[in-house]
Amino acid sequence: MFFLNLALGQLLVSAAAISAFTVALYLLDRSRRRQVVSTLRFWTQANQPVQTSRRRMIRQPLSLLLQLVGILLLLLAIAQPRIGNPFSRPGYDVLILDTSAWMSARAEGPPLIDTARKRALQWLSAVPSADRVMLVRADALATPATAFESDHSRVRMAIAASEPGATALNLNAAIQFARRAQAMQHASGEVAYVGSGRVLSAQDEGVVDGKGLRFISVPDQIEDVGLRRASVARSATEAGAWDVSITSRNYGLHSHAVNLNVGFDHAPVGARFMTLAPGAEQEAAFTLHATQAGLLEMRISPDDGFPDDDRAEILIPALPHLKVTVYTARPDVVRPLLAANALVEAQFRSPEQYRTDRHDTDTIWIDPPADLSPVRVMKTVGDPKGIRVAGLQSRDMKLGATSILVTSPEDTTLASVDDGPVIVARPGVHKTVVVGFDPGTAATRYQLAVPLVFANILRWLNPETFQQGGVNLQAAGSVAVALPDEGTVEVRRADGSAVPFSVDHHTLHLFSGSRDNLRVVTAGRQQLYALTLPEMWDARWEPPAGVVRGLPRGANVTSPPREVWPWLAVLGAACLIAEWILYARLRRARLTAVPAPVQLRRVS
Amino acid sequence: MAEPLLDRQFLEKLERLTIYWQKSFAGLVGGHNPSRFAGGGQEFLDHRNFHQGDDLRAVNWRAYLRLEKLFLKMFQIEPRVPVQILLDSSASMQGAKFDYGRKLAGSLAYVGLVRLDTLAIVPFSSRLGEAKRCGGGRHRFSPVAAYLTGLQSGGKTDFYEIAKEYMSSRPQRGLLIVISDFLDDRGCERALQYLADFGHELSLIQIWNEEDRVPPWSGELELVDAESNEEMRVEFDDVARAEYTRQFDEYSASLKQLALRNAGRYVSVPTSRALEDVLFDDMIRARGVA
Repeated sequence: MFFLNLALGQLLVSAAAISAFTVALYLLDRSRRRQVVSTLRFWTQANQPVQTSRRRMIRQPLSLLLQLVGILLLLLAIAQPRIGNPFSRPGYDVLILDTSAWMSARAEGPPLIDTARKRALQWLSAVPSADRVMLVRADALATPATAFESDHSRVRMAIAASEPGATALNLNAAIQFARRAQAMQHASGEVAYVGSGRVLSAQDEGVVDGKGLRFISVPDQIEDVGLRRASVARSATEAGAWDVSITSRNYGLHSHAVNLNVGFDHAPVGARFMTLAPGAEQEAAFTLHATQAGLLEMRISPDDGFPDDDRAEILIPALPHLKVTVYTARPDVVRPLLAANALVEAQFRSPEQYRTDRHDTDTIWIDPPADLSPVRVMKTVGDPKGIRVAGLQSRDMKLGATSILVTSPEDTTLASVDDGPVIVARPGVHKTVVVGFDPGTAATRYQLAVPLVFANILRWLNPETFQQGGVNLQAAGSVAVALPDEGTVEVRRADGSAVPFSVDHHTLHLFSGSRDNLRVVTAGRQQLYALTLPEMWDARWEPPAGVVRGLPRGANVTSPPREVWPWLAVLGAACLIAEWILYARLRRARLTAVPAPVQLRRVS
Repeated sequence: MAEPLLDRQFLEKLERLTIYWQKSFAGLVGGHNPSRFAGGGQEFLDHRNFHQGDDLRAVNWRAYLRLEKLFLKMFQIEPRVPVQILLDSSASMQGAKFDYGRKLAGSLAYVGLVRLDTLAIVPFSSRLGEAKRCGGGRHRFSPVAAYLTGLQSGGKTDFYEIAKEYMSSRPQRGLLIVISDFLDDRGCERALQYLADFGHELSLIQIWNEEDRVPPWSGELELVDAESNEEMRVEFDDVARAEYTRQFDEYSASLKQLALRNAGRYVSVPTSRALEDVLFDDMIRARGVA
């Protein structure tokens, strides 16, 4: 037996002081008292001879004994004695359960997570019942599922509710987290890891020591060939086409020959037969011709023990088109300039066909007559030089006869010469661009700057059509995106909610713990990231020295020290109540009880 | 403002009561209690022979015509017999007993005033105090209440002296209501017997505290008599307490016997009992009021 609140000396001193005080009160309660009474008539007859020698004696020893015993028992209850070993302080154990994406793999039997749950429950049943246990679910993040619970049934329920996530395991971080949790409790205990030990190569935390660490491994001899990443970008060489690049990897221990099939909206796009050595990656490229939106599906066959990375789908957005009406007297000269871009759908008309109510597209006017031009022509000059276009200045370019235009405040000058604007853009529901010279004349036909001028005109009409971008398929977890452009960066989910990120040396870093679709928008560029692949491991965790392996042998039936203070409190209260009933209440009842009236006989 | 001796609602309840006595006393005409003495009342009582000097208006002329003898009709008088309330104001009554006694005396006085009785409230300890006479209706109660409120307790009880002084100073017999704890060391039975023998009808109301009957103390006690300051040391335990209570009950029984033996009445009133219960239950049962 040991005392939690009082040392033995303190207990004895307190008991002696209280006992002395109780005895003093007892004797004082029974000392002589002076009372004023109405008459001494009846006292004389009921008087007992005074025995002063008995004044200080205990006349109700049982009453005093009950009081003393009751008070001592209550004092003992306050001391909170316990039966057992005082040094068997309960441990604070942490169970790290591997919930990485790999735990959903299966060889032939149940998935790895089922085996891990079973091993975790076995470990929990072997933990001393007095220990407090915290469950930490570990993937890329260490997430505590319970606090330090003395009720192990709650931990069992949390273990049963654990499911694999979408990211790879960062075990060192999880162990460091467990150690910090134990340190906050100022207690020691065991950190038990249950899992396959497949971790990312880049661990956030440093190497941990193996003291107090237990590794309960889950066997995972599983062959897996899966998709590593994929990217879909607009073709740089072919308008209306997408360049699809798919990388596969063999995570198994043996070489595997697999088929990679790619389809778009249930139509086959291509297939590759690959033979992958253990740990090898191979990239396959495809070209997708699609201007409409659709679902790009990629699949690796045959199936293996980890089907989550055998198949993926990404949504390809529709390619935007620019419809434009060109008013020119010589459409044959201008047509090659616009037909070079498949995203531009041009309709050619002569200036005489111009009618304002027929506008349902943007319009480009090529050297319009002064009387028909939507922008007023100031004058016509012979051969101005030194055209200045946004981002381009060509002093040698010859324009021939050129109309100098008059701009209004809302107009934008896209190109100008020394005499004034020569290309003016006018905003509106349908935008209008007026070119004051003819690019098909002999002077300008072979100028290199002419296609750039028209590229600027088309970009101004509809910038989204010419915006660069693509779709990337990769695993959830940490994502790093190179940022070539300066300016604002915006990262949003499919539902429009913002995603926190950081930018370091033109590289955007963000983390997604679950499968998600993100959109990264920078100036002039939009990248879609489908983080739908599971994050895979890179290496097997090597337990440091001192790690205990396997389940503890046999159930630890060490029982905690038993609390006896409730029984002492009940006994003490019972003693005091018994004393009160026997000596206080009954005495008071005798005092207040009115005896039966005296039967009187009527004297006649 | 001091609390009134008796509140109005309680006084309204008291108007249902009447002070009751059994004996017939020679006294003034009036009141509501019938008397066997003949007089100028309204109710016929008896006939007697006519004597010279009798009132001719009372001659029964019908009997004279039939018997040729003069008979005089006697009428029952309704005497107004003074009701004397003796209130013990000795030191032994100090505290709850005296307050209770004052309220009880005030209540009985109000009952008498409502019935047009004539009353006298006489405080006493070793001597009779100054009496307060009252009569004539309920509107005369205010001076009585003020008088009772102003009374102080103190002194030593001596029933012998009281009885002698009372009989010598008040020859008029009547109803004598004694409100006291009757805790006279010399005993009061003989003194009360003298009063009864003198012709008074005794109505004894004994007021006592719980500690008067069952002392709550135990162990060694140093007792001081509240009236005589006499001291006594006793060893008091449950056995002695039972003996004490038995003695007290025997004394109360002797008082009751004395009252009943002299055609009087006795009411034992603990101060813990409500005054309303005493008046409407105990007093009615003892026929002290009706």
